[in-house]
Amino acid sequence: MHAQSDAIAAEATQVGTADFDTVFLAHYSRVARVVGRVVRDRGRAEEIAVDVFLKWRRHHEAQGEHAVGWLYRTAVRMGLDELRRQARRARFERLIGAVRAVPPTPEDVRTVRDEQQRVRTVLAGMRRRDASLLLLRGDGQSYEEVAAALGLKSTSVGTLISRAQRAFRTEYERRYGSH
Amino acid sequence: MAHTDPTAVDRWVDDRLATLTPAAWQPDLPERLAELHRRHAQRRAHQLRWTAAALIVTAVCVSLPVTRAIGARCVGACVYATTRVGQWWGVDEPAATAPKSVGATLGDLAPDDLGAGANGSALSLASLRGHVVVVNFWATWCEPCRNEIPLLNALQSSYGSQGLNVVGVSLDQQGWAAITPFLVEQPATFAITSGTDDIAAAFGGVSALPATFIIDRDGVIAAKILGPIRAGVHDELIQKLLR
Repeated sequence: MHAQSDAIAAEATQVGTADFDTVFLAHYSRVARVVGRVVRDRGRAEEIAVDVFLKWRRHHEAQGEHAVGWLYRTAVRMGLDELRRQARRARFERLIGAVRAVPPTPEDVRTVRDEQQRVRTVLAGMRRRDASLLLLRGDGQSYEEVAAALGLKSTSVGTLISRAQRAFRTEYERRYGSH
Repeated sequence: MAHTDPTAVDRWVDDRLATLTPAAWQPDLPERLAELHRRHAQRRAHQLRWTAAALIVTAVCVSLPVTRAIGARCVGACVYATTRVGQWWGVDEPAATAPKSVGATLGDLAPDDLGAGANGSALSLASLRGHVVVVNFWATWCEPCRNEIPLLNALQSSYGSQGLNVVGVSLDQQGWAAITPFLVEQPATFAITSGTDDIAAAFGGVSALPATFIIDRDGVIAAKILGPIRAGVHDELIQKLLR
């Protein structure tokens, strides 16, 4: 599926910007899923994925042979940015709640215990490159694809992913204790 | 540490990241593509509106004298403020725009007084501003000076049309009484004046004759030659100053 999408995209980038729609159709679903791994709300993830393509359309230097890598890198970064915004908003709302002495709702309690939410919170607190590495690797991308997306040497991706995994576990245990 | 085994760490992290994998989820492609086109068109329209507004405002500002005057005042205020800030921070003016003092060394403004012509009228450097001026101090009794006159004639004829003025300032004590008969024997095609010791002193006290100063179009001394000049040696500098 991925190889077929890449072939379509490569063909489109050769023809020019007229085939913008082709690139969109080939990659949108996967870009949206990458964002959806980070952002809980699917509707919001789809909107961010559309933003990724709008941004790509404006950046002429992003078009061409590196287009696919650029799309996934931007998708992960925009997803992480959204995640951090949500984390800031949640902290602010907790602060306001503490000031007003509002008891947490059952939904709040459930959310905090939710493993997905924990993983997302940890990702939001990590270095952006480490979080991007984990997310792209978790999306099933090969070392070469991850290297192309993040502008890294493919030979060093394995080492960097291992470090990112250790950083993830350390951060997770710091926040939630060891399991 | 509980997580020293790399494989265990990999598995542990992968398990947690796997919780993020969305269940079967197929975004609505046609709808999102339509949204993309709509937003792109909105953005283009927005850019066009702002461009048109900017052009209209610019046209109005440029066409009305009042707005032009306000604009000029704003620019003037900005320049003034920038200059003041530069002064507060101790930033010197660029050397090219710094006011120069009158003197006899390279880079100084040349003294203004160049002596008097045969009819008694004073010649000032200010009257030659905008020209490259070669000021040559000489005397009728000075043999090297006399030998130099053909070279100075050649300079005047070669570059006079491009804005060069050669001025020969004679330091003869007898003034024009000595100069006039000399010029009959040795004609000069450039301006000759009769100078005084004060003029020589202003040029740094000409210690030996001949002495030549090459002055640029802004009245700044660009070269100082003590002793006879030689053919072609200073042509390059003169051509550069005339450009």
